[in-house]
Amino acid sequence: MAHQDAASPPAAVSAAAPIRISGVAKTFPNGTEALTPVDLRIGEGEFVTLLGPSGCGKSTLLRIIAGLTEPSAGTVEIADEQSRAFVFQDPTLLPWRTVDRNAQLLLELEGVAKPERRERAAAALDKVGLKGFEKSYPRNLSGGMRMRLSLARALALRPKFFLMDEPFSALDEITRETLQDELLRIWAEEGFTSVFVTHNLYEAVYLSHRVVVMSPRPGRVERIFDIPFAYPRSPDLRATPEFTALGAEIAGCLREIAQ
Amino acid sequence: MRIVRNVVPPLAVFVLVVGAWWLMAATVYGSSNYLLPRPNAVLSAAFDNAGTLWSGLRITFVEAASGFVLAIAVGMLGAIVMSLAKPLERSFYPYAVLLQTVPIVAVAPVIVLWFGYNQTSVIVIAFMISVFPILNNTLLGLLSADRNHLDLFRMHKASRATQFRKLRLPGALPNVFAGLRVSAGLAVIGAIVGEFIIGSGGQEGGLGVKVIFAQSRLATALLFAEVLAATLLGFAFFLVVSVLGNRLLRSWHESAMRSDS
Repeated sequence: MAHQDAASPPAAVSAAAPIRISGVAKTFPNGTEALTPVDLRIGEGEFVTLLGPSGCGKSTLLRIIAGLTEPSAGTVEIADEQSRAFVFQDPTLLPWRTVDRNAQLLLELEGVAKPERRERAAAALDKVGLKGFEKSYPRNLSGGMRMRLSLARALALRPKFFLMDEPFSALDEITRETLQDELLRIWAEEGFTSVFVTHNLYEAVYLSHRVVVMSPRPGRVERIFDIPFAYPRSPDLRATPEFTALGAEIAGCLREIAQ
Repeated sequence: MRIVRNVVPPLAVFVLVVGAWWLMAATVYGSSNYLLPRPNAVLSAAFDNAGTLWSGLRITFVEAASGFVLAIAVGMLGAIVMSLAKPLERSFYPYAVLLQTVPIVAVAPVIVLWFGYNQTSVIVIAFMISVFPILNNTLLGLLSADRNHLDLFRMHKASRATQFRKLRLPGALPNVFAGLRVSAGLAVIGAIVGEFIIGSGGQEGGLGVKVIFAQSRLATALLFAEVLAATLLGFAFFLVVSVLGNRLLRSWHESAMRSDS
């Protein structure tokens, strides 16, 4: 089983490394060490998942990459800062806007002209399977559809970097697995670089090129696993012995952390 | 079906109350008509004095509406200013609370000194009584924008004006209307209280003035009719605000939705 502790991405995807995290640390004003210095390079088009129990600093690291939190030390270099999209655990839709207008929100904030806004929102809604729901309000959507809309809103930006903070953790198992497949399909079509945060290890293994296991008190990178399965991945992968074995190995690593 | 469900229960209560009133008036109070006039006496007093009632209603309406509009303008503007920065809120909010807690009857003489024995003073009192719920609820709404929403707006470099227009203000609307619904009734009460204290300054007075006049003549049936008119006026204010709020919010906010949708 291929895994490595080095913080470099697999050669296949690493050439330019558009996200370079160097010595990034975060200490909160109350003294909590949310993150001790982290070095990580994320390659173009790579799918990297930050995995760990709560308090390990995975969300803090993602927020620092997104520019939502300032690091106490270190730097994050991103090839194109303007091209980041963030998806929250909560779909964070505006309830007074229709599906269509929600999908246009970020384009509005970015000053994209109306005709283009409409076209890009429509394309994004189509991509996530929400075509036909344009005039609905978020309250009329199921949890899974709300998250689809949240993804569409980010996709409409046509981002190079897609940052996701436990986006599927509030969904039921079936919906979650469906959305994982949809996310992989869209990622393959769009070719963006993904940084995904989760506490679900099978989700991490299924989605990623690399899984960065983090541990708490203080938050740090424990180990990085390379996931060898070829894309496109299909749900059958979840039932293979290789998948299960790798899952068990990472589970063991997480258990060590918990002790 | 919906109409039946919404109208029948309050109608039943109405019939019960009027029935009990009639029974009381007829049995307990018997002939002493000036303590508790029968419903039909109130109704005929209303018809006999329709002109007086109507002119009183009009005057009180103008005062209450002016005070209410003033309260909306000042209350919302004040809330917006306070929502801009924490120091502004800390500086001004205590005085907004004081405005709410000051005994109107006690400061009425000052208001009269400043504005005179006229409708302006009444409007000021209606304003003072109705401004706080609007200000308080609007402020609460503006300040309760979701953290993640704010992050999202910040990440995409939205200006404060954009953040206000597209996030804080629409998000505050349910609270704004909650405040308006309370204040609508208060504005009418404020106008009546103002009229009680200030009188009409020799002019034709509103319902509050007419109530005192009717009481002094022991015209209890007319007094009842006037109180009823004032009550309906407050109810009308409330209704207008509610309908407006429901129209604006019904597509997305739970408070404005039909239970079966």
